[in-house]
Amino acid sequence: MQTFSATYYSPGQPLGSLAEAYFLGSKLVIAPVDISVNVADITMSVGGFEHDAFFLAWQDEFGGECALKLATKTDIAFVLAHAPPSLQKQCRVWHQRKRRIHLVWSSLAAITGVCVLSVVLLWWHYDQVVCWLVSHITVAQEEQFGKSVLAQMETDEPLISKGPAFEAVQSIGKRLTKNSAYHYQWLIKKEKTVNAFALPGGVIIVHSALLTKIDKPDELAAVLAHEVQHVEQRHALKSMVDNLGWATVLMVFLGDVSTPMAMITHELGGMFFSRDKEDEADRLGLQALINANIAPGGMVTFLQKLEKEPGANPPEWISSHPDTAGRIKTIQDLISAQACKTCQPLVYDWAKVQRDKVLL
Amino acid sequence: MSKISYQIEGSDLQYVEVVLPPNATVFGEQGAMMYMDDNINVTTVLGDGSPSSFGAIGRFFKAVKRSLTGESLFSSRYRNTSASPQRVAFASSSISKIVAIDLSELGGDLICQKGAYLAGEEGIETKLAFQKRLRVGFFGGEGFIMQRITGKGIVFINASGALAEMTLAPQQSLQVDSGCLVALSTAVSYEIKYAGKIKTALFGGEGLFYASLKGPGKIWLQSLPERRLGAELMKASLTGGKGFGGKLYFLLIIAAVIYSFYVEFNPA
Repeated sequence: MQTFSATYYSPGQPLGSLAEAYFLGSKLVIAPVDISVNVADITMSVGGFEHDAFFLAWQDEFGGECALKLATKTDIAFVLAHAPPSLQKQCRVWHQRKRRIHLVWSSLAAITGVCVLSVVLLWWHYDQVVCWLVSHITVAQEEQFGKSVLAQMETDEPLISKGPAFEAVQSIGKRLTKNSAYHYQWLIKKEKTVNAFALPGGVIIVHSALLTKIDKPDELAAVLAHEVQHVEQRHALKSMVDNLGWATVLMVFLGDVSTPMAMITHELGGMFFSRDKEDEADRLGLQALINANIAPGGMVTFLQKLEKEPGANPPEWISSHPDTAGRIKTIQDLISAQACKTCQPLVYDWAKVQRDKVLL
Repeated sequence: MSKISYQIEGSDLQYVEVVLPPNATVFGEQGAMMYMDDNINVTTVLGDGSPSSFGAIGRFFKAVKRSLTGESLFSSRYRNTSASPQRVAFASSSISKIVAIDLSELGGDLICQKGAYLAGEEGIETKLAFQKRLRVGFFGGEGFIMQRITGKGIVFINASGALAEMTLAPQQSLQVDSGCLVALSTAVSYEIKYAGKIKTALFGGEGLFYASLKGPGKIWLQSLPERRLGAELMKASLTGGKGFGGKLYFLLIIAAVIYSFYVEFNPA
């Protein structure tokens, strides 16, 4: 007769004693104390601190509670396999309890895993997420936004939109922006710093000092090509979404509403782009110059001019575009990689442009 | 039979004096030693000093797991190096009683609350016991981590306040306020029960849940969980021993005195 070992608890032995037991027909026999119990009276339950103890419980003839606690896993397996048919139904308790605990912990692990994974994915494909968000903004909306920013700027000082200098900027710009989805607007601002910048939606503003500084129209074309790429690649929107995203995260964690506002204000005021956005604008701007059959050498000569600017008081343009020498090198490499044979230098009466009163 | 003999001294704040026969060893929690005889050799061991099949790294991980149960990373080994019996005494660090439990009586396994282990014979291991039921972990008052003390011989555990030792018969269950549970044998089922009444929870001073312990097996309960003691001390120190009622009474006396002066100098 195959037996299983267990601890036998009874009113006389509340601390339990080791016992061997076996099933005999419809009876459970506990060997050392020679007690037999009707299988029909037995209830099975799972208990113990770790929920790994399997109990067979019944009442003796005086109503006292008795129980057998199965000793090891093999004993439990033995009972599950060899219990009389009337007990088999109760054997399910064991599996149910195990399954429930397993289900709870595996679903907890799954939820944690999904959270961690989505954070990692967001981190990994951060650029794509930003692009995807930006792609939901239409060109019309972007232009609307650019106009409102422009309106705000014009309240301080009216921007120049006529005269020979303006016409030069506009005609070169138009040549560079053929087939564009944006409706470009070209403007000149009276300012002593050598700078040019793009607002979202195709508003490009050139400082007057930049026009007096450069010697030939090719260099102006190079600057415009660079700024146009900031518009075409929607760099302003991307950095806004970028900073807005971080600001939102900051707001959530710090509970401070003024932080994102400060960041948006900073973003609109400065229009500083990250290094990789500048590189992209350089690269694609160069391509645009070549596509428009304009000699791309202006980009190099302009940057060389910038480099020679007095370093003690670096103009804004330089401070927002670090490492000018590196940029010159990259552009020179790109130009030598794809020589443009059909490209021609621009022909303009540059002296006339520079004599324009508005620039003085 | 256990090699060591011991005597628990003190009424409410207790310590245990262990007498070690020659070459016998006892392990104690760091900082628990109170006094010892001259010829006891003390060494510091990682964890509970038990070996691991993974070598030094395995021992280190065991010690880290052990330290999660409220014990320190290291423990001290006290060995009698002389030919005559030597004494060493351990005291608990808070207002607590010490109870000696013979593990062989319990089948070599005992579950305790965090930090309950004080000292024990050689070969006793303190491991991490993880509560697999979420609601018991959250509302049972002991958290998810408890101590599992295994081995053969005597282990000394401490608990704050008076200690009650009970034996539960099969199917017999006991409702215990959360935090009062100190130790239980592994056969005891530990569940939680909803107190059932919001009113009791809010105004009865009890929690929303009771721990429900079901036999068969032995349990140890403490009368004064550190949480309760801490709350009482905090309350006393914040109010300075006098509540709002005392101040109101004081104000009333001042008002009565002023009134009596007023009546005296302005007779109607």
